[in-house]
Amino acid sequence: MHEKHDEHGEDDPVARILSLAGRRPEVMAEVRAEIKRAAYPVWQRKVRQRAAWRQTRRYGWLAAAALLTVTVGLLLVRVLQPVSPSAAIPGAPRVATLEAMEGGVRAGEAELAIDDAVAAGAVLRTEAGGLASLRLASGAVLRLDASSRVLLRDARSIVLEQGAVYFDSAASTGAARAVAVHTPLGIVHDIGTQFAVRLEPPGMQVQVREGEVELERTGSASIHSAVAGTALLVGTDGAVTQRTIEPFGAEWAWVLRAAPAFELEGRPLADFLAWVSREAGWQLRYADPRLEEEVAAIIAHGSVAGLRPDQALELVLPSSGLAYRVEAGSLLITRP
Amino acid sequence: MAIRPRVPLHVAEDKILVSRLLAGEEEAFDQFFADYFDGLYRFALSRLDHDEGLAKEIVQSTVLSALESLDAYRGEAALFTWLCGICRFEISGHFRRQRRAPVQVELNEDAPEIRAVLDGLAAGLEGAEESLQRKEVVRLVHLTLDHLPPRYGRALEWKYIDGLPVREIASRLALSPKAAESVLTRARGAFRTGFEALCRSLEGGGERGLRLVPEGRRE
Repeated sequence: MHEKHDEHGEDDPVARILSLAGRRPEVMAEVRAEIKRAAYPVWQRKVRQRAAWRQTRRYGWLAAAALLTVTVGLLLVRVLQPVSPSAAIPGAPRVATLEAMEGGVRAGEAELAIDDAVAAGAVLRTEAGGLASLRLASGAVLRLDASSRVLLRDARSIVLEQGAVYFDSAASTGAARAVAVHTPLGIVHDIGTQFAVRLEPPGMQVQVREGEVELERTGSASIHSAVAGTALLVGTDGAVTQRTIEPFGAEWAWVLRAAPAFELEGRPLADFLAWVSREAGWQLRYADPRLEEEVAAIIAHGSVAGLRPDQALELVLPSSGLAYRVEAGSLLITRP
Repeated sequence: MAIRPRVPLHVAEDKILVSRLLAGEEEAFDQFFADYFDGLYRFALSRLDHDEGLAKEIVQSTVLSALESLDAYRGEAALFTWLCGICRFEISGHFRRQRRAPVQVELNEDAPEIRAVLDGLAAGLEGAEESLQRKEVVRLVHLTLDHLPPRYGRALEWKYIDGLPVREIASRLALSPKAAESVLTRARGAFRTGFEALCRSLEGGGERGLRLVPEGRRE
């Protein structure tokens, strides 16, 4: 059969340049396969969301708040295949460990227990009145408020579908430090280190306790930065407003309640005080420099299991012969 | 009488693929990866100083973001161009978070006018064979192929690198031999335009721009 293009073979510049350049380098099959595996649940979720959205629109439900509620409701009643907490996707890497919880915490349909590992692709849910605190593979802390639902894509990427999350990256290391929280209204990028994201239909709130985050709004090229002491309020119309917040107090109470207990026995008292301060959003201060030196030399004994940081403080300091008071966001350590 | 511009065929095909993805077709998911993943990875790698670990992270973020934003794809640009746009954003975000400037990788195709040409894929090319000695030109050849509609790039490689007959190419594309000839003709034209524009940019857009001249017509 006559091959029309043969007549261009030798004299054809396109043919020559392609022949001389050679094939495009191929990507390693395992790299492609790994990313495809990670992408699959995200794609499936998108398909379900779109199907739910189209069904909602057919019934004329226009309000964004109703849409979000219905979408979440439809997702919650869908039939899920049972998955074990450590194998949300077969072969998926483990990206987090459950450190503390209140009420029930589920990964898919499986109920989690303390120290359970959670794999990439797992969807975590807390019950009404429930809380969860996880340690990510990077060392960072992720907490879920009550009635929250989160997809852990991997150690650096989280999708908040309902409720609120709190993130503290102070303990994370290396390239896995930066995390992104994806929401229907935008992506919140962690610059470091403590922040919370809460879906409040029809909008969203991003609260920064320490460090800085960047918000990349859905459908917009603009980036909003927020530093410690700032909250960004995002509306469904894309409007972003800002307000000042304190790093301590009622806004962060759920974060405090979700904190895992501190392993006190044999630890320096200074470590305990640093932990309490960080969890409560207080600045740690000492009545005088000499007191700070004395505290540095104290080793604590006992247990504060089951106690919140503020409750543990009430127990530990008096038994160490010290006193304290909290004023204007500072934890001031004093002598009795 | 108003004349509306026709949507390029490859963009129409991209919109169909996205619709199939949103409808949950498993084959569409496989096709998406088969058609675009390698090109996207090469795109990221060339911009990240060939750091394979980082390229893998960036491409994963890009793919996940793209899948989550699929219904935002309106077919105003080719799907691969859209994916590259997301990838550029992920790369700049990475360097912003690292609080450092990106590695200075000079990539002529990032200029807006070149991007427009790659996306539109319009007309003619001339180049110097000896320039292939330079890695940059090889990279531009591969980049041009990546920006073509996937089957155009594959058809050109099968024909001019693997030396497959048109009959075999037709079989692989599930087309008649005549239709395969037509694809090859269109693919060659598209390649010429994109590559010529990139090469001219390489030479600073001057009159000397890289030209690929047929043997019989050497000056």
